[in-house]
Amino acid sequence: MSERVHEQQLRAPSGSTVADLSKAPLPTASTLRKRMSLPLQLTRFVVFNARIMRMVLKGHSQDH
Amino acid sequence: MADVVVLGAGVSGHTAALHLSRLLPSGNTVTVVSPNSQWNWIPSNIWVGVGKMDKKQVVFPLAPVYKKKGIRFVQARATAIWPRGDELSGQGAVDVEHTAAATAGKRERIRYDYLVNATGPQLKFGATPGLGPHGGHTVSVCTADHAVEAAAALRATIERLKAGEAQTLVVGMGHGTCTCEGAAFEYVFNVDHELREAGVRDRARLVYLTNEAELGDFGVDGMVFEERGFQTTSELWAGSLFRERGVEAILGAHVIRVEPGVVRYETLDGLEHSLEFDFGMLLPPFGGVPLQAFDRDGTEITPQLFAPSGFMKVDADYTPKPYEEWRADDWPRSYQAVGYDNIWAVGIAFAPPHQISRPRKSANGTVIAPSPPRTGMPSGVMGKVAAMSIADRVRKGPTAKNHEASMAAMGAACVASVGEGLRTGSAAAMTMMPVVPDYQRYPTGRDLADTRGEVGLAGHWVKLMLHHLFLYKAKALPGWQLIPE
Repeated sequence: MSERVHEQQLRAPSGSTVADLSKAPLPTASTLRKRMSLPLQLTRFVVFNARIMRMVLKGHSQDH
Repeated sequence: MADVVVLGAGVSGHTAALHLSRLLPSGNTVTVVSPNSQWNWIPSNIWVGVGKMDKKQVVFPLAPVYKKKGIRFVQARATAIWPRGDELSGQGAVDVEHTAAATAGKRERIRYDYLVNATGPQLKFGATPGLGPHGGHTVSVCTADHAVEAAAALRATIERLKAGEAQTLVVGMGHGTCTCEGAAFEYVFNVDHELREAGVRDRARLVYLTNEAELGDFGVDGMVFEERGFQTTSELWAGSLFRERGVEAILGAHVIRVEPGVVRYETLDGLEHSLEFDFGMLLPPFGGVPLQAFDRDGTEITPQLFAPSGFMKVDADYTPKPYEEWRADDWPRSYQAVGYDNIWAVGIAFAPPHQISRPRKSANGTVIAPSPPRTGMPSGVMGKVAAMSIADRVRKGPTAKNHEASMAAMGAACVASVGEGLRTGSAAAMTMMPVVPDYQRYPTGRDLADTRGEVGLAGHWVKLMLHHLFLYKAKALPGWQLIPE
């Protein structure tokens, strides 16, 4: 997959200070597609903004 | 009639000033003192720093906005506070030194009835030898001008990669006590995107070097997310993105010094290491803007008002205690200064009671612990809360109750773009509620319904929307007050 040609295993060589990320979960091809799917992302956009607004209503004024 | 002075015109100070101009009855005055003539939407400096936006898209002049809103603007830096007045008057005052070309160096003393300290951070590049764009060997995206320089340096690196040279790019934190890890996280993935777009990613080694002990800490002790019936962590979530994009991570690092092409750092095990690099964007630690405080007779009382870090002490619990005993209640609610009921410190200017992330020291005793972030959404809310408290005092009298907004009860969103384009962009978007975990209230420290992390195109749209909304709001265009902080 061209977008992921540089994907590395990121297994830290012995003695290296680079974190070993070889066990970090990789997204599947389906997940990558969903991240760029217009209908799904439009829904996520609405949900994310609704969540921000809920946080604003809950936490931005804490007057008693 | 009251004179209100706001020191600083960043997110917090500018928000306070605009709300004061709206809330105060006519006849009262609002004066903003800021060394900068322009307002900067700092989150979008990331896009300037990779060459995707021009500087003019993230800044605008303050003077016309303040003129429109009836706010007096003094382009100057504050140097001292006289909270009880001086030998001439018992009214509080601030000393300022002008920075505009026409009046540079001119000093004046401005009287106030109410003061909002929103001076923001002092960028302490000097804390790490060789760090930063002013005589150092790395670039920064802290200001729009820094970001322009960063974009030029990145462009030169990409040209070398195109010419067939291998290059190492390091992005992250230039000191063990830095904050704003989210900005470095965002920048490293924007750089990754640029390298891919230029077709040179395979020749570039991209390293994220951070003081966070774990990926996904972000200076807020990490987050727990609920996903598909399981609790997972921001560490796993961030690690996935690093692995997917092939970005290496060096964790728990304190940069000791930067030499031309080499960054030397200490890790939590106390060992010293070096990393050769061709392009480096390392953020500086923040300190309080240097301000002295004096009593009426000229006695210096700076330690009464300010913590050793230079940040102003407010209604927080500053009692030193171990991490296990930190409580949400330690965090300030009203941001009113200690001992002075007519001074507030908001945004980065207030002294946090302690870090949010678990504090760590290396085997040598070097502090390697992210400082608490208090920018963006919380910063604007604090500015508004201070403005509302002052307006109530003016309208209802000195017994009016303070408005409150603790970071331990307030949420925040962090949207880190990891690529641009309306159809091709992406972002790692996080929300957390509250910013400071409250383990007495929530088993995981935060409300799982509102603490989320996701990656996708929608996050990019959110980031773009916030860019335009906040610039609109900051310009005080019609209906600005309806846009939440």
